[in-house]
Amino acid sequence: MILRAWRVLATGFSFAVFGVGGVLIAFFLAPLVSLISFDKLSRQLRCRRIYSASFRLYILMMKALGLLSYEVHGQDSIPKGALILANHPSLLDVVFLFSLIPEANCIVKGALFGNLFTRWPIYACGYLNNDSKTLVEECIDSLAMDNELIIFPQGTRTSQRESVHFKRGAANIALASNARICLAIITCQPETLRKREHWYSVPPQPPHFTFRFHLFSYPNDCRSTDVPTSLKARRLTRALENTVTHHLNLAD
Amino acid sequence: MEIIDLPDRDEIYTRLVDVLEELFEIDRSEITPEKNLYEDLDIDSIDAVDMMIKLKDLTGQRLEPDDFKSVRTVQDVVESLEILLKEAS
Repeated sequence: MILRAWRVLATGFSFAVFGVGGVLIAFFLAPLVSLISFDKLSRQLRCRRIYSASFRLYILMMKALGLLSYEVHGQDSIPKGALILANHPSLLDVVFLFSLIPEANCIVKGALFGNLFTRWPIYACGYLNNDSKTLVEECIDSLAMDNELIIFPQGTRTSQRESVHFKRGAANIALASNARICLAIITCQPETLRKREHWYSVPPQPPHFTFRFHLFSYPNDCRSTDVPTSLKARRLTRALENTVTHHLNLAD
Repeated sequence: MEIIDLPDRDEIYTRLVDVLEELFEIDRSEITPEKNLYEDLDIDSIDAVDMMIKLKDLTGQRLEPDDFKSVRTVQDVVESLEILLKEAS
């Protein structure tokens, strides 16, 4: 009981650190970086590295507070400029992934571009707006610059126990860019910080996060030229869903 | 007027069903005029653009995204195409 009360307290503290740290970086560090960067891309990459390092520290802090533990497998197998498709069980997935892949780009939901606290970091890092009409082209450009691109094809946080359903945008971006695909299979035991869950409802034990990275090879029928892209995107999406389901079942 | 328009509308509908089947592997028997493209037939915004490109062959003119802004159902598409065809003729 005491341990759990401690974790509620420590979780509150962590959220506060996230908020304060976020404001400090967004309003002081990021503008400073802009001053010393000559072009947009180097500014964006520097900002991404700063956030990546802060997230690494943040996770170490949460680990030190006894709030979580984690393991990472196959990080070396992530090719430069890969399209990284991740399932999304928890709010912390983003923090982990950015900490593990320092220069990654990411598709962000449109609402966060309007949020006072998130819009500046998003602009500083050059993340892509999910509501943009030219999103697919922007993704292709970003991948062509050899930056990894993280997408959560489920579109929103989804319990790892639910059946895997991907939106087809990710497959369309893959087909249009021909990027290498790396799957990020994320599990979190017990599940925590899910959608519609309060920050203080800490799980009975500290959650253990596992990150497994797997290279994914395109199915042959996605290479054929006489199949319309709309069909290829459907087949690729199905293949991705099946592979992720398979890995999640193995991890269970 | 209705009687003259009817065969046209049927033709457009049949052509649209062909396109939906060809591009998205939607079973013909699943398609009815009332079906919502996005909710019932699992078409997303990227698919909608592909569909417009394909339907261009039918109308012979460029389709603008605005032409389909209020389109929700299969019947809406047929009606929009009908208006476009009338304007073109």
